[in-house]
Amino acid sequence: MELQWPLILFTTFMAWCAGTFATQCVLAFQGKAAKSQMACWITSAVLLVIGGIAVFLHLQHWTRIFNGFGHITSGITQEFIIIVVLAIIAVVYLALLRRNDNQVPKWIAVLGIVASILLVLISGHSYQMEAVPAWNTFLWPIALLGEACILGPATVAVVMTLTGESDDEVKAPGGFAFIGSIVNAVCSIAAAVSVTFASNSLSQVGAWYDLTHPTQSIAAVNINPFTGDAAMIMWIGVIVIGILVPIVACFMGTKKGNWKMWAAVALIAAVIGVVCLRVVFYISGVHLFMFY
Amino acid sequence: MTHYAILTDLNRCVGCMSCMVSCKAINNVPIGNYWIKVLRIGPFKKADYQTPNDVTMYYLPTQCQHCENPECVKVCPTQASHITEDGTVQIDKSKCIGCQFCVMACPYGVRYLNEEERVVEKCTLCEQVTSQGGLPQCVAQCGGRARFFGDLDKGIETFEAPNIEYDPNRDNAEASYDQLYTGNRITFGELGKEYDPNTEVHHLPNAGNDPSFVYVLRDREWKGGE
Repeated sequence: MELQWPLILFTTFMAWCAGTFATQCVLAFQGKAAKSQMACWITSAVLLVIGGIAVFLHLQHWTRIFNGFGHITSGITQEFIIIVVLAIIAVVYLALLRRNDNQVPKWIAVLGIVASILLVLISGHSYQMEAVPAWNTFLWPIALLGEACILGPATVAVVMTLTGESDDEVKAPGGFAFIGSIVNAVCSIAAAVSVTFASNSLSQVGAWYDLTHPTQSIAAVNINPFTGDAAMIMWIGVIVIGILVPIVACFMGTKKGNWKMWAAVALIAAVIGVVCLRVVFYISGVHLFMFY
Repeated sequence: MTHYAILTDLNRCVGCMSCMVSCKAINNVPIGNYWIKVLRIGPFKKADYQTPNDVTMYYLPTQCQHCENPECVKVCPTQASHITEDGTVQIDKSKCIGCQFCVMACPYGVRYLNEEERVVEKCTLCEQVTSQGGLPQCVAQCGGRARFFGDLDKGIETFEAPNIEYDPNRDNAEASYDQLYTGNRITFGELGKEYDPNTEVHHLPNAGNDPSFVYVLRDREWKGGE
């Protein structure tokens, strides 16, 4: 399927925003990182806005959302609802943060974590379609959750180092980032492996010919991310840059304590990896009946 | 309850592409977009293959299948894609925000973004004509009289195709182009050769959307699953 860059960016930024806000909520729940709470909140808000702008660039007639938007079975509607819910929770979180000297009650932190997880899962779920066998697995929303698990803690670690938190304080999100990088590796690989099984669900007719495209290749489509058209992006972009580099960087951060550098390295590599995995996702997104 | 659909008698389809051309002409389908496409399936070996001559193939006109449970309707956030009273799936262009999720959700890839109008389009089953009793253009212009239009609830035997011969004599009022639209019909029950309703009536692969269009293919192997 054709790459839909606005949607690739939207999904990436949603996972990034949700991961950042959830990490900040976890730290608030533990009573940590008070000094960086506001900076983290602003960061996740900026990520949400950038994601929002990206998705509006995808819509051909966005003004028509006022013309009957809200069909509940639509993934877009469900995403919109959870974004609004998360935004409301974030605003309440901000109000409580300002009122209580950079501390928030535990209940709002829990709400923030739950809403962030739901946002990621619902964003991923909108693409689960029987029409596209490679996408029709819950492993893709889970992969998005794995991506949020590395993007969020790494971002918070970077923000904390920039706001002057001590290395001891940054250890907490750094530790989360290390765990997140491994969770991301497992989830991303699992989703990619699931695509290799999806080939069997594609309609097979043997030899065929599209009269409107006489010179088009009619070779069987190879949607396998490890050996097909997306193989280069999968191996270099996802596995090496998106998975191995963050794991090594987080490991080094944990060992050396120099999170200022290693968290930034992990974050940049993870963002590249997430975008690459979304590209693989679209390249693998072949319709069940792919001859039209 | 009405449920309009098209039946294609694949044993009669000669792959002339009249359906494609007439659809593009009548519906002003943009260059590069198709609301109907004729695919060639095969050649493949016959079951009793012995020599290279023992091969077969068939043409498959493919378009929006006006499904019973259309995925495109489920994923549309503004209900621009909707099921109408005649059972067909239509797009209200004034509601389409151009998110193209319907394009992704259609198992057959038969929806296109109209780059100029920036809305998604597809086969309308010529509702502007059928609502007035006429036949869809791809049925009216079918070169092999392989396509029949009708209401699934009344059975595929009642599906209709034009019953006139082309007569270049414009003075002959009995056989004019207008008769493609009013009366002068022949049904699939009258014209179609005998077929086995259990093994020779097919649908495109079903991804839970229950495609409505019917394909009849006799004495040949249907490819691609149901």
